[in-house]
Amino acid sequence: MINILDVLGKEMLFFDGGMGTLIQKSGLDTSVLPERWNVKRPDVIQQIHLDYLMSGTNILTANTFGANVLKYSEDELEEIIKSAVFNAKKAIEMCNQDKLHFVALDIGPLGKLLKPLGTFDFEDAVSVFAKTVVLGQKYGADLILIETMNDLYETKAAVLAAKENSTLPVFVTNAYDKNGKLMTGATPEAVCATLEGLKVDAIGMNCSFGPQDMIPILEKLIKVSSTPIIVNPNAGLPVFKDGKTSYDIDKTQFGEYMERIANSGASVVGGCCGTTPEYIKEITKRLTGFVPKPVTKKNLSVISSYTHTVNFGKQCVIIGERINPTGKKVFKEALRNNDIDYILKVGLGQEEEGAHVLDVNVGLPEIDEADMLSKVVFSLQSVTDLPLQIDTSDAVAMERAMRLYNGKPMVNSVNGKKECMEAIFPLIKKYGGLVVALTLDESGIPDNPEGRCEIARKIVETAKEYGIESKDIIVDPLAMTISTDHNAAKVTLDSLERITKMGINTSLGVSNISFGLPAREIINSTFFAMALTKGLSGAIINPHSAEMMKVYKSYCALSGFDENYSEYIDFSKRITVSSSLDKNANSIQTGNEEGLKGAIIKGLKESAYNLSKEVLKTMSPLDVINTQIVPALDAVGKGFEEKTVFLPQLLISAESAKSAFDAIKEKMSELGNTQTKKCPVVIATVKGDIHDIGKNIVKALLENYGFDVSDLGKDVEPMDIIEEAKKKKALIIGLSALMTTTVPAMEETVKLAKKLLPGVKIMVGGAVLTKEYADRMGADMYCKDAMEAVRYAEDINSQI
Amino acid sequence: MSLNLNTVYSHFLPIESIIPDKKEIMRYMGQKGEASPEIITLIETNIKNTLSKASPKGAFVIQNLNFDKGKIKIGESIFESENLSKNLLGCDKAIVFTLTLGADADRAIQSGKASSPLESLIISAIFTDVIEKYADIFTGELQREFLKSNEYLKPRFSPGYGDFKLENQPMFIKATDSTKRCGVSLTDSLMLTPSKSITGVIGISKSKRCNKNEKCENCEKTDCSFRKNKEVASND
Repeated sequence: MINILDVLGKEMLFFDGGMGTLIQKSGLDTSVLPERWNVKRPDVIQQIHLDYLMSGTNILTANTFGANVLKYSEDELEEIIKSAVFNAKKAIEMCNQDKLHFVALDIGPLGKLLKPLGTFDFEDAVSVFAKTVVLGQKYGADLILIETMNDLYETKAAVLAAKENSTLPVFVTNAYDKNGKLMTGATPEAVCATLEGLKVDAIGMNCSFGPQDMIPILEKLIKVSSTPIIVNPNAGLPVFKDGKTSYDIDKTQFGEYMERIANSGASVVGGCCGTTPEYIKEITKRLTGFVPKPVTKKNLSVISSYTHTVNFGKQCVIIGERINPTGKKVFKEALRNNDIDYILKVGLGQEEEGAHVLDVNVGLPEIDEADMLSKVVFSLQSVTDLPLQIDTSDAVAMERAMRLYNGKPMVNSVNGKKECMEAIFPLIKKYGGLVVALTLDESGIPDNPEGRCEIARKIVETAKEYGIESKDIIVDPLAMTISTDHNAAKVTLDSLERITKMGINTSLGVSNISFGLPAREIINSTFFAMALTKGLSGAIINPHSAEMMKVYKSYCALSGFDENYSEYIDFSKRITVSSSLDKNANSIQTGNEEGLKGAIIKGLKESAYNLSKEVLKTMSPLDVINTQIVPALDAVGKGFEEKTVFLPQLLISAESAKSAFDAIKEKMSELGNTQTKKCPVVIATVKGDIHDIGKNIVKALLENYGFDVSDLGKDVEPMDIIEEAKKKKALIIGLSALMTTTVPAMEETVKLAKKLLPGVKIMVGGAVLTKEYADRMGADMYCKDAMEAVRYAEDINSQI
Repeated sequence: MSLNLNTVYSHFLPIESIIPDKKEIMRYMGQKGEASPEIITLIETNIKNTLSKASPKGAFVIQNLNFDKGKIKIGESIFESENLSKNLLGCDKAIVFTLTLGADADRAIQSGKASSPLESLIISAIFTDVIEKYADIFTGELQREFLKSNEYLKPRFSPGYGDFKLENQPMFIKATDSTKRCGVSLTDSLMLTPSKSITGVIGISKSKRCNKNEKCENCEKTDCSFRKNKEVASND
């Protein structure tokens, strides 16, 4: 029994074509789910398979595209998969050709968009796919084809399910958009990096459009792939654009394009929607006996997010270091308070300053690191498309984060200790990743370059035993502080040079070099320049640091990495506007009304901050709050209620107030005080609903009025809301729902809360709600807008 | 008329064809009358930064329409709605469509959230305007096509309008093969994903319709804060 992997890439392999139209042409009822025909009319399905085999197909896709437990019961699913694989094998038996034939378990998308864009859970997707995979292996499929996936995350879920539940070869073809990316944004390069990290056996594309439109995508894939490539286009799809219609291409054109595609480097070809055995015949008559172009190994050191890749080895990659609690009081507070928004802002701020990758470190002893790391990685990926560096010494935290990461992550770190390599390398092997390797081992950190390089060599050699190539290792020769060893910089720089000569990428946590010395930025930036000249591939720095970015931008310009110096010129404009890259600019604009109060009413964010700082020089924080900020908010709130001021103004004032509060917080922290908060409030958008703009508005306003708000986000389970309210001893729960279909979830939550937390008041809001609904479900208050929520909360708070 | 019955067509529109309307965007944000210059600037900045994230695309199918015992049968879909029946009076065919701005638009809204609720409100409002304009342009293209055979299009009608329940959404997903054609699917709570997506029916009739393109005139929810123009109830 030949394994498909023995022939893949060595001889041309041919998939079959479309199944749907042929089922229709056979006269079968299209309102019946196609997979059911395996059981009801096996003769028809076998005939379709046979027709393809006679046209030269070697890989039959079993009729299981939509066969999953979302559509079928477990029992029926088993029956379907059993008969589907049987039908394909029967056809092979019937055609009686002395050729290689394989049956692929065909796995298509679930028809549900995964979180965070949709509401379907990643792990639930893995479980659903797993059930199909188990049955496919049980009933004798030769390989698994995961196809027509237009989302990288769902693709990953399917691949993990395949790898965890079978030993079968895994082929993946994705459905690209007309702009050459997946629907959820991934470039072919990002798809390739992620799937190669997951050790998929063949990758490629199917569906969407005809062969001519696939050629540009194929070319991109060929440039980066070290894995054989599959191309299964449609025979074109009807399109109406600009008042013109275009249809399928005919089989001859199809065959000609497919020949071109094979010559470009595809190793496996076939067809998708609209193609028939005749289309496949056009391919096989041109390409039988064709030896596919050999797939060359690309030595790319690459990571990816869910949209794009970042390559190491040419221009140094900037990895933002600011998501890290070390030495940051406010950040630690945020972690303890589960203030994910704060962490996201830190990440987005670094993105604005030009970071290419974000380091994510949430290691704090008093919190559940594994839980927090997963939450932060997931949340970051819902607001930024920068690739992330998962930074933890806890292998459990690392596994969980790597598993749910959407793309191919950077991993920090592994070191030369046997125990560490044994814990980390299997994770890299399973999930894919580019791992930072620290040059330390059981004997500590060598104080000379030879020693550090020896550890680097050991790590690379050990990695090979796990099938991890040196392109997926980036060595950090450790920047030790010069304040305790004046050779430190030299040792690091020498090590960098040697490791680069070994053909391995390098990275550094640059700022360590100056620990213990004053004016650290000056030493850091010069050391950074020196390291760059030694070929540093990645640098973990603070992108907000003007000194570091000056070095980076000028170095890139000087070394030919900045075509037309456009990056440098842009940078120089920003840097001369203000002498530091501090977010709070110096321009002060004043409104017509006096000072701080006026700035808040008018919604002048920067002025509000600056004026608040000014006023705090002479007034106590509490006075500023009570005589300036709250009256301003009240004035705007009143205007909103009287319909002279509208939502946008309410919000912009709220943001200015927040700005002013930031200044207050800073002052209070200086004085060693903390602002006393009003009662705790838990808010959430209910299960099944992902509309949260209104809820976020309520949150912003409640915070301005001094409430301790715990925001659980959207699509939240009733029990989670109850647990949080219990934990925080909340007096109020606020629930939001926007659709008639999610009102039942709100009802359920209210019922549960009334039962388990009888003293807690429930306020509800959202466009779909009315006072009647609210009363009927037993809520205490219906809030028709954000201000009503604030008034109600103030009311409840004043009663305690 | 070159469009076939029962064939699912894909549709695309370059985003550059859509010019956002600040007034409409402000209406979606709940703003009436003049907004402050700061807000207008924010809107303009966000239009500049996020408009290109929208990728207008969709799928549609033209099918025969029958009225049968109070139900409306369009292709294999069966709808039950008085308001829809009124809208489709006199039609023998209909266009069933799904349009979307794609997943990147949702990401832009979510990134806005991390910056501020105001920005996400603005970005969401921008994309609401964009998808409505896309639907208008889409309808216009089809109207021109149908005029060739002297047929006229009715105003579009979507699940969620009047008594046309959301429970009808799955039929649109199926009829337009939207998951495959333009990446639009449904959550268990019948919410379209990506969120800036619309499904709908456009009736085709041989007689010229007499109502102008009304958006809010025929809707009963007179206390809606997004209601357009003068039909405002006194307690609004």
